[in-house]
Amino acid sequence: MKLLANLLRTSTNTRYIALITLFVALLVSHSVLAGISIRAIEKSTPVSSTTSNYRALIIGNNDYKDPDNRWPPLKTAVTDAKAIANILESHYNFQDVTVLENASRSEILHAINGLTRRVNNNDSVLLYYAGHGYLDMETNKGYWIPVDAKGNDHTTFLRNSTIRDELNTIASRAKHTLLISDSCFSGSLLRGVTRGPVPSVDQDRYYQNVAAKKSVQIIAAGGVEFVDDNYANSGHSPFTYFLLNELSNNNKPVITASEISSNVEQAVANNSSQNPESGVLQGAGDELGEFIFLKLDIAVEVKGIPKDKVKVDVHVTPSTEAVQQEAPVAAEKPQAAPPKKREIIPLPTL
Amino acid sequence: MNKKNLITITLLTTGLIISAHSYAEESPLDVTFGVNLQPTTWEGDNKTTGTSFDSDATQLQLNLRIRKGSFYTGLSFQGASFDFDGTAPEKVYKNFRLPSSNTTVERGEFDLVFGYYFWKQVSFFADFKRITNDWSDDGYSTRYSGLGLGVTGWHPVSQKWVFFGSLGFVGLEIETGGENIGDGDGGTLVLGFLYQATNHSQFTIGLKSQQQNYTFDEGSEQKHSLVGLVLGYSYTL
Repeated sequence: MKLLANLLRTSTNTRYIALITLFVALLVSHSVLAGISIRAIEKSTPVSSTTSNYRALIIGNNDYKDPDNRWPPLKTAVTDAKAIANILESHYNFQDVTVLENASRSEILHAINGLTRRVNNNDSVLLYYAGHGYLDMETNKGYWIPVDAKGNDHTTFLRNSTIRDELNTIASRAKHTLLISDSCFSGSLLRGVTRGPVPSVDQDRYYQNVAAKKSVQIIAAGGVEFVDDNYANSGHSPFTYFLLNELSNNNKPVITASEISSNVEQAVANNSSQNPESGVLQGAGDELGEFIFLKLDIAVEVKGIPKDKVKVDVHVTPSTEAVQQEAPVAAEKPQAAPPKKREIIPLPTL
Repeated sequence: MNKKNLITITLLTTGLIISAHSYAEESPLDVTFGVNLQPTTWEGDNKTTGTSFDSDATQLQLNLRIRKGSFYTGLSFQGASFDFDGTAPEKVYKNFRLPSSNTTVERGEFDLVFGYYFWKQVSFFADFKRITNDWSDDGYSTRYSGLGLGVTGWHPVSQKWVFFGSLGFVGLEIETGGENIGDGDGGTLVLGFLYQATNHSQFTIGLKSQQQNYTFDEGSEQKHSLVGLVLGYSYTL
């Protein structure tokens, strides 16, 4: 009480900061949930690290150099990739974001390989591709088209099966894996397993459950159709335009990939001839979990404190309790979570 | 310890305790013990008389670091016996100085550090520093103490390796026999790599450079430079 009395005698600014600190301490003590903890923190406080890392590999291919001119240059893929990378880093706490512009086949594979090596058990990994895609109607095989693809030479393409294999490898190590493919025929990556809508009641419990379970999801810009390159001269493809719109305007601290894809699918279908699809990568250990997007800079209203002084800090921690409540769908043996990596730097002295 | 330093240390400690308490529910307490070997070259100039000195020794450093959330604090002791063949640092008193040569100086450094990570990989820290130099030939000794400020940061270069560095400056008051005889300042730069062997064990290798300049009330000046390798091991509970 003496400390409080002293605080009240100090200047307005000091008192203000002290009160926010007290408020934050109260929030911290009451808002910790089993799988996801959400708290308001003072705006100037750096966001503390979660127990998992958010990693992304973002690929955008514009400058196709096909001598046969079968794959003409695109207008928006690189812009799309940069915009996605930017929003993930600045608003969704992605710490490890690699952007590949105009990537060749080997550059894509090397980058995926590098990403795979960095992934830890509790990580959330997002792979985004914007560029040409191709579906061989005779064999029903789909491909991504790297910038060094040559005409009809399928060996210079990147087969869906290869992408699925790489995704499978990442998924074997990560907690949540999400592939977003903004290319023609990207729906050919899917195998028809879709998700149900998010339950409207007890969303906190829902988020805790899906965050604790493994997910391997795919969102594709189109089914087996051509997709547009520049939506309404926005500088973005329609799919990425509405994806960016969704990510930017989201005002929830926690949102799942299924929620986002549901809204994007509807918006794209309403405004273009495309029909985005989403689902899971079969055989990769998906347990009906969800890739969780955490938005850390949304405005939080707290009575008596200006909005610009408060922000949200969200932690997702693997909840063994949640996993035990519902048995995983896949029969995969669950891997033990690795010990949290400590950041122990030598004591600095002068 | 003068009054100004005492007040500063008290404020820092109070801030640390209050702020750490607000993180208590989320942040684990990391306690780390470390030991370093520092093969060091100590060289310098008695600037007024135009003589120079140098000596090599391996310093042993023991340290304890406690981190909670973005805050950390720690203690460090380091020291060694430096044998000077030929000229040694001059012995300076309030109103006069004496030449010194062919002697051994027991050097010890004590650091009390408080730091805060303002960003995930960058922190600022305050260091209450005390250096003791004891001459073996006649028992003459000097104490240098003061408060310094620094910045330290790290950047991962691979899963296991981390590059780290720190830079800081310290102001020092010099005493001998309980009497203030001058003041000085110093800068320290440390660059190195840390290898995270396990979740508990870390090895470090780096370079440490300390540059100190002293101005004595009796009119002389000294320049000291301690540069050396840092080989370390630390264990986090």
